[in-house]
Amino acid sequence: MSTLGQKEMNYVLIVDDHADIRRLLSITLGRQFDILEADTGTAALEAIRRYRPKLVLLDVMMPGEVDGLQVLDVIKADPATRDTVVGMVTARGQQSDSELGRERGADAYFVKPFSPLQVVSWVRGHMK
Amino acid sequence: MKRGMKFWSESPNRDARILLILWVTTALLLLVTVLHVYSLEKGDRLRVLAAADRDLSNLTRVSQEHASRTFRSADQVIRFVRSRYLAEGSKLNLYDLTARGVIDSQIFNQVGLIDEKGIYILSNLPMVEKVDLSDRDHFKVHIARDTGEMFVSKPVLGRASGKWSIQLSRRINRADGSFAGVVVVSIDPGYFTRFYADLDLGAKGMAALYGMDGIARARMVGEVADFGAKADKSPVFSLLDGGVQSGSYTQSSVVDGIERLYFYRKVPGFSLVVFAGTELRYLLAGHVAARDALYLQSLLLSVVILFLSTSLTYYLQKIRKETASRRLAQQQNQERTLQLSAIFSMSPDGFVSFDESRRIKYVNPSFGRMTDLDPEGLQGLDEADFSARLAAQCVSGARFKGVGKLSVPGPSDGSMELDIIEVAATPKRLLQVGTLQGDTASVPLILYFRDVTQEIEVGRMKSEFLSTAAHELRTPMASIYGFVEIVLADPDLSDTHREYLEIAYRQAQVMAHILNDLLDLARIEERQGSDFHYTPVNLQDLLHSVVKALPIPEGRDRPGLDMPVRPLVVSADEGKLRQVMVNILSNAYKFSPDGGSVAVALEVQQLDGVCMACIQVADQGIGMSAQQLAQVFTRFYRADASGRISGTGLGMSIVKEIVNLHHGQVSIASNLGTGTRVNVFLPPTTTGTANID
Repeated sequence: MSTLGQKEMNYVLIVDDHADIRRLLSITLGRQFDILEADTGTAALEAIRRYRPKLVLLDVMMPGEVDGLQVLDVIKADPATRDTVVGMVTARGQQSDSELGRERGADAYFVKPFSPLQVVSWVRGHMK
Repeated sequence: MKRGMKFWSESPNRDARILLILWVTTALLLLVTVLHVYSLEKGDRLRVLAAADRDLSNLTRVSQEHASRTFRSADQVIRFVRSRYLAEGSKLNLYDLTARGVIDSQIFNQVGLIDEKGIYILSNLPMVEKVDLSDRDHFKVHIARDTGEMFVSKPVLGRASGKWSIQLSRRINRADGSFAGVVVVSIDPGYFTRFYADLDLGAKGMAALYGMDGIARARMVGEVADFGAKADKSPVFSLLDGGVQSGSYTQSSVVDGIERLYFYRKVPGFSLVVFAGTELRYLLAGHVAARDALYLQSLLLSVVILFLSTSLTYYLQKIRKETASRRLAQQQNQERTLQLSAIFSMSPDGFVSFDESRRIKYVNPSFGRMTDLDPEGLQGLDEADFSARLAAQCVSGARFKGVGKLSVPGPSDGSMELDIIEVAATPKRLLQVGTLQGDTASVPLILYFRDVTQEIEVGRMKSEFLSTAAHELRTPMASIYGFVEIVLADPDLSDTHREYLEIAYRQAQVMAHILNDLLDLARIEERQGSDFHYTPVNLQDLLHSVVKALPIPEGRDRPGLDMPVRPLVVSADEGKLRQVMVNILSNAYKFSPDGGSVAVALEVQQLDGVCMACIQVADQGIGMSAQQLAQVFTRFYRADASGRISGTGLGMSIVKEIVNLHHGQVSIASNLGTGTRVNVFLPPTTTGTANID
């Protein structure tokens, strides 16, 4: 959350309703990237609108009015945010779920429990 | 049941009554026959005897008259000679009188006179000397007094002549009444027997003239004449003494033993009786013949009656037995039917049976409860009406398709193919419908309904629970797994701590796999392949790709591949099939920790007479015992109890589920210590693409 507004093009947005998961990802990624966190779909959309993160790690299932897939749809529907890299993080591990995400334009699909090191290497690959 | 019991108890009595009537009638018929025969026979016999009696009566009347006239004319001769003697004295010339025909010498052998001293003084025959006849009965009876009667002597055999004669004598009285002698007329008894011989009395007839003294004056028995026989013991004479002038009787002759019918008649004015007898056998000969014919007839009639009654009895018994066995069969049938309908009515499952005309014959109460239809109201409906009525009870998504559209089981397996319908009710009600083709013409079709709401609901809840539980576990797992990974990345970690954390990390990985497998299994079970995406899959391509991508433990070789050139194509969900191969191959490596090759072979094999594509995976690992092998598809079962080999225990269950949903089979052969061979059989498609690499 530090250095808000300074390196907006390099923000990584972590969206998850579980604080532990947000913390896990922010610890792993925070050393190399600027991290934004959101705990609901609505908060995520607000953060995207304001900070234009380059990459979003998006939990699929979240309580509240807007879930991860809807957030994905909004990102991919808006020409201004269409190029944002989206990695879906989900507890739904089935093949059909990941196919659904890919069809809607997600770039990666991480199934819980995921390896933070793999996520870091994937994020690094997209943030160069 | 109650009616049947009553019927049972009545029937034997009724039959017994019929038999009783039959045999009483038979007995009466026989009795009537016997009585009739008896009365006919007796009547005929009496008639014959009466006729014979009449004939004999007439004959005795004739012989009575004959005797009477003979003796009267003899008496006349005696009286004439007596009067002439009284007039002429010893000058009386009897010879002269005879010669002149005054005395009939035809009948009378001799006419003579005995004086008061018993000397035969006069005769119509020449006399050589005067014979003393004072000792003779016909003289002696007249000495004492005058009876006024003519004496008839017993037949006497002439001492000189050797001829039989009967002396007839009368006393001669002087004027003062004193005894003056006796006139004697001697007659030939053959005169009577000759007369009797002319009477028709049958071959062994008898005619006789007896004196009241019981001595025969002349007798003819059959062809034999005799004289002087004694019969004074005969009861006839006491009857005659009692004043009975004539009569008949039956007696066996003391002479020849023959039984005869006799008639006797007193000769009026004389102490004489005439007899006539005819042999009974002769008399009754015609009657006996007729009687024998009658006996034979009635015997035959009786036999016929008895035969008819016996036959009728036998027939009745037979009918009764048949009826009894039929009734028993009916009763058993009825009991069985009652039992069956009791079973059907108590069954929680619904049954609807159709008759040969394809109309509803029986609906059990359970069906009514399940569908809210009135079982009574369904009776007699045809298939179309029934289908419409049932469909109207269903929710739109799961209607009853109609009786005709239900799957019909094959003739060999007899299994029921099942459809599920949902009845519009709260709470919702799911019914499984099966058809059962009856093997009898009377029940050609039975529909079978089972309430599977709970089963399906439980299955759905199980899958949902598993799915939810697995999802909910993933997020905390992600924290554990992730944070352990981060800590492990710390280079300053002590060796001990690193070792501990690595264990935690590895076990978290296993847990994640278990979650994945559980979710897979739950989803496959829940959807039963409905989310499978079937495409033609070239098995050679698939196996190549799986083997290439398979994570191989360090120091081990990739599996060897032995495949035919000709492409083998199956219709399958490629992702699922890939999962099958990955699971089997992972096991092959896992359970051969000491190395050894893992070989994959593809070929076409016959399985139960059907051509199947067979993928064979063989390892040279630890293998399994027969007991372990039997458990291999059991969930969470792990052949390795040591814990050295990681795994979820769900891999082979998933394999089996997926292969079964592809209409295939999995078979495993294994020996402890020598390795395991897994065969996956899949039905090949003949229309597969010939995609050759």
